[in-house]
Amino acid sequence: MQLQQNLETFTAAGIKVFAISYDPVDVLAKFAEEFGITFPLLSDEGSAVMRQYGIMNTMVRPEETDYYGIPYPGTYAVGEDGRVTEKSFFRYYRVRPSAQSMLKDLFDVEFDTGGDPYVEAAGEGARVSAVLASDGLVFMQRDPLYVRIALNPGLHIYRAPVPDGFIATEVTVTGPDLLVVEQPVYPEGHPFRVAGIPHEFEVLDGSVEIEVPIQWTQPDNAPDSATIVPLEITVRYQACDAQQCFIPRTVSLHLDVPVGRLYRATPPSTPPPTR
Amino acid sequence: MTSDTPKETPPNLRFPESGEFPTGPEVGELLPDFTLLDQHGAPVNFAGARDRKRALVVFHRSARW
Repeated sequence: MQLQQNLETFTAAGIKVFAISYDPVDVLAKFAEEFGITFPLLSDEGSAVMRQYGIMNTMVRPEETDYYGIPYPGTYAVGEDGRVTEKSFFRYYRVRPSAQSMLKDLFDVEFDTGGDPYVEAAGEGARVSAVLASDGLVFMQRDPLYVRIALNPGLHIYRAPVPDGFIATEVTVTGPDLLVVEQPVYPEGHPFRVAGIPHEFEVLDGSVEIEVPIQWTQPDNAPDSATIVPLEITVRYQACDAQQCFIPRTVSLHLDVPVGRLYRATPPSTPPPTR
Repeated sequence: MTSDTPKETPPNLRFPESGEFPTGPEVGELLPDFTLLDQHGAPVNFAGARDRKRALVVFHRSARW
């Protein structure tokens, strides 16, 4: 559904979308009709292509009939020459990356985040903001939160590791217990040298974007299912120019993110495999 | 729905950070061609349908559950 919602962006960027599962054609037909899917949903019944690729989940045993033949969930980005340019796979069968994160991570296509949950604040020498790369969290969907530090011209901040006395830029995201927050991914910096310190370290300047993948793990049919997930985002940094530094600042942002519904038919009768 | 509640979410090992499970064709390799039936029952050949454009190929668990 999420891919369908973003299909125009993929098409405009010259990217064809294909989805493959082990379902028979009639299941795919019903699904496509129900959710208005227009890109190809392909039936790898018997999992021949998954086996050929070597991505069938062999942790699932043949007697687990409803699950046998599922792949490790993943995505290949293919270039015009037919070669794999990027890939992204997950071990856990439930996890799906969001469509927007695939556009950005796999194809470097910027997407419109207008309308997505967004918050910003002014900091010392910078404007700090956070935007979720999705219009809401969905059970077991991995959505990146992009935290941006837009520095005033001429200023830089430091990237870990830093020598004693310098403040490394640090983003922390916290939320309810059922929120999984992965390690922030900081961009690469420029080499930087200071008189009196023997080794180089790295600085960041311009608009610095830090990606923090998050994932909501409460099933949408839980009796006390949340409709809003509050995120507390703190950004610690010290902005400096060539001569001097501002005092270190901690900017706190609060972002309420809606929880969406997972479109899903009745789950199979046998209990799910643990991985 | 206790069976549906992940007690402990396994780490989301994303390629290329992990070699702990197979992830198929490598970056730089040709993605092997295939022909499969689509939701209309029509055969779709990957190379033909891609028509020398970039492509996103998503493997997922099931449309049914």
